[in-house]
Amino acid sequence: MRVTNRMLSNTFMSDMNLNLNNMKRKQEQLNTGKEFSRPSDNPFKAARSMQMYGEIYANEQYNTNIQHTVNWLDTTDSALSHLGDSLSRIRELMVSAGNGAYGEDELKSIQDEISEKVNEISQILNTSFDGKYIFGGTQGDKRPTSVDSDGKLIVGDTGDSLKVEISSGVVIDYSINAEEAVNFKNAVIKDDKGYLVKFDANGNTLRVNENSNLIDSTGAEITYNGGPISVDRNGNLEDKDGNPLKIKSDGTLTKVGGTVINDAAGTPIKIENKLTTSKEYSDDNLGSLLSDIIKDLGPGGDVSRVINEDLGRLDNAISNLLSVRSKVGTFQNRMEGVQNVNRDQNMNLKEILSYNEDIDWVEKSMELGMVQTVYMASLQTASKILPPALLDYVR
Amino acid sequence: MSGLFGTMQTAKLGMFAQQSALNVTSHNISNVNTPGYSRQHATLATARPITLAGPGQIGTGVNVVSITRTRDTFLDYQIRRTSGELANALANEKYLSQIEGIYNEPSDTALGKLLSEYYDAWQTLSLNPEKLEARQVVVQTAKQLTDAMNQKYKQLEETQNNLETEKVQAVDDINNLLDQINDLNDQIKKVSLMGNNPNDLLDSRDLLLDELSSKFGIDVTSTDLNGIKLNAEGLDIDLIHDKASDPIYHVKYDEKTKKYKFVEIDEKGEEKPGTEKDFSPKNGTVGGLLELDGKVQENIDQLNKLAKTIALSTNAIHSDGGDNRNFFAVKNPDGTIIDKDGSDLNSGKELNAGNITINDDLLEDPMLVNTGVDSTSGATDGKRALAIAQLRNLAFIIDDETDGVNNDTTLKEFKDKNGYGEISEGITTFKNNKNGAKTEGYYNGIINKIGIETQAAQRDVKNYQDTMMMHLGRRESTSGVSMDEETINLIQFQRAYQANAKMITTVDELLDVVVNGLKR
Repeated sequence: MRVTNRMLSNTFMSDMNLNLNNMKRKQEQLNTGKEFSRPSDNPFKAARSMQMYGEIYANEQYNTNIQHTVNWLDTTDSALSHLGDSLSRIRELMVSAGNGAYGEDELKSIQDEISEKVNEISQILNTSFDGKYIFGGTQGDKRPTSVDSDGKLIVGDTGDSLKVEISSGVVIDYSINAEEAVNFKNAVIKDDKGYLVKFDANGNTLRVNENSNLIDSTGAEITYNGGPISVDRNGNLEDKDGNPLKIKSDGTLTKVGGTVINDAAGTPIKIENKLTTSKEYSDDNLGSLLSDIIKDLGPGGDVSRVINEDLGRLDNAISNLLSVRSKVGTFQNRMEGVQNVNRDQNMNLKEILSYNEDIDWVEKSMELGMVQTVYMASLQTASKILPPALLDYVR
Repeated sequence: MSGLFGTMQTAKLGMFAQQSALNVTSHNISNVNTPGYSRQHATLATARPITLAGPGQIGTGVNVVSITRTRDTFLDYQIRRTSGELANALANEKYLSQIEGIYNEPSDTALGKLLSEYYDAWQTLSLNPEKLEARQVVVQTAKQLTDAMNQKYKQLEETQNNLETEKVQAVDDINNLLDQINDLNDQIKKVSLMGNNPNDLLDSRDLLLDELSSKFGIDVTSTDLNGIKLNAEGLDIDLIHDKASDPIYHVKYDEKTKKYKFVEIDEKGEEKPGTEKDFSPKNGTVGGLLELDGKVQENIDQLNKLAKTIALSTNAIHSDGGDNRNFFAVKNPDGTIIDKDGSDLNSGKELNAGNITINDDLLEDPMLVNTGVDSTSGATDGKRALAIAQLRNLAFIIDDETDGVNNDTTLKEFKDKNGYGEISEGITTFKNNKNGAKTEGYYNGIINKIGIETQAAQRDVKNYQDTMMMHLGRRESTSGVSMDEETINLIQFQRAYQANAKMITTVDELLDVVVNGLKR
């Protein structure tokens, strides 16, 4: 094929351009450390990179959300723990009030301490974190609880619980409202006729009235020894003088020793002790309970209620608080787990991202070396081929 | 003619011939770097012999029959085809890279990151709705997002304007070329009529035809007297006017319909009305520019759809939170902000990526951002902000022909087409459309598409350049001047000239013998 000098120089020009393009590419890659600088360099990898960046950013936001929730829950848990301590102290005071030796002065000092505890509980429920009242829900800019002029704990409107998104599409309620900690339920057992039922120490179901005295199926009190028979919190039966009584499994009333008690006519007193019962729940709250306790400890109050009914209600309140705390604890565990998953996910994504878009420095440096060699070789070849012509040699 | 004078004539013819050949060689050498030049060579043939009784035919020397150029017309045809395709690919690559550059992805300063930060800001706000700082962050991050979209839109519009400018400029170039080709054609025909080979004129005309072929596809057929018939692709008109009765054609660009047309002009250069013919080339720079119209517009449309989807989805949820307040609004060219009321039936209709902005009431007072179920639900209620943040994970119908987002889709239409009405926790929100696209996914799709198209254009350019190189190499091989070859020819013709001159001297000496020696 006929070859002219122009062809040689044209070939050199186009190949040189190719070499320079390659060198530019390698230079770009080494300068940025990335395989591609724009989508057209490698559209598939670029698309993957962009998608992964999106996921990583979203993940980092979820991490921030989770951290916020963890801090919030820690504060909640610590507040509820203080609340538990307060209720325990109140319980102690109530049990000690049952000491028959206490007179009016001692009862008054117990009353004062419990009044103070009401303020303390209100303050605990008004704990704030990061500028919000943690028990305030969606009304977290307002104090959830207050103490009114009668010394009663009042819970205001706290709205709904707060929500957080911890991963794509997963939204959870993470706040506890003041009402949850303060409202509790009392279980009330009734028989099929609607009378209150109490259990005695032997497991008998006995019909009682609101004074905790045994009644018959018509609601009239069952009397013995000139007075009603009462059942206390622990299921012990007593007559009006405080003598302990028992009921046998067939329903006959006996003294503790076993002697059957007869009524005025001489027949054994039979008491229905196997009733069909159903449980009902009645709502109660700490505010009312504490007010009742304080009233019962005062003059004109019934101290026996303090150690019976009120104590029962307080126990229900404490067990409600425990269940709320365990709910918070479960959340805390869950948050820890989610945080770990989030961190692992992020690490995985970053690893895949790096694999996708970062260059291997050693490999690239070697490639650059090769390209440089080719460039130098082409320059040297051109310098040898292009200049000479026949004209140089003709005389 | 015979005898010594005959011999001298023969030698004289020889000298002239070698001189001509030397001339041609000199012409070749001086034009070795001229673009479009094909090497010429003198075709030598023996002169007509005379018949003498006795010896028979006696040669009378040499004549330069013609000076011909070496050119392969089939190669010309191939080169023009490839040149058109290469110019098309170059135009495509140029504009597509520009568009890719406008988006500047992947990068942590581009739209993708801003969109991510926008949703993140709503997340943070949902946890701290009572804080002014969190609200500021949402409003400012959103403003950055809309500013970036405005800027990209403007840059895309500028690209569109550049495209139009280039199309208009092509008209002048083409008409110039057509005029020059016609001029040369006239001259060539005159010269050919006189029986000569107008080699250099032919080379010039071929060079102009090559240049024209890079503008749009052409069809060249030879006619008599070295003339040509020139057709533009897809049209049956002959752009060469040989006779005075032939129409003179020029090309023009109609900016309203965005089409090229061929139109007849008279001698003064004015258009003759009613002679327009539509011209839609596919090859060449012009073909490429016409094709790019669609691509640039597509990119503008996609950006608009993205902006609208983000705006309307946020506005739907935000405006239900109180006072029908829209979060995103429309900016007029004079700077006033409109479309702030979500209950307006036409809300969202005018919105696009170029005029999207934030409701300025919210910029002035971020406390007006609706974060909760309603204005009474509590200062720490962030449910609405959370619903807006969750828009990130919802898929909307964007690209569909009937149900997608268009230039005039309103807020109400957007709500209807995307199942707005699901209520959760007191907030109405959208249904997730399985066939739809999330905003981030749609944006990634836009970038991916432009990346693939640009890469394809770059590959096309490379391929066509390689093919061009090959063809040009072949043409150079056939028609190019080789310095070494010309040097040899130079020596050859020089020696022949010297020999012929020597011949004359010899004959002169012989004549001297006859004239001066025979008779004293």
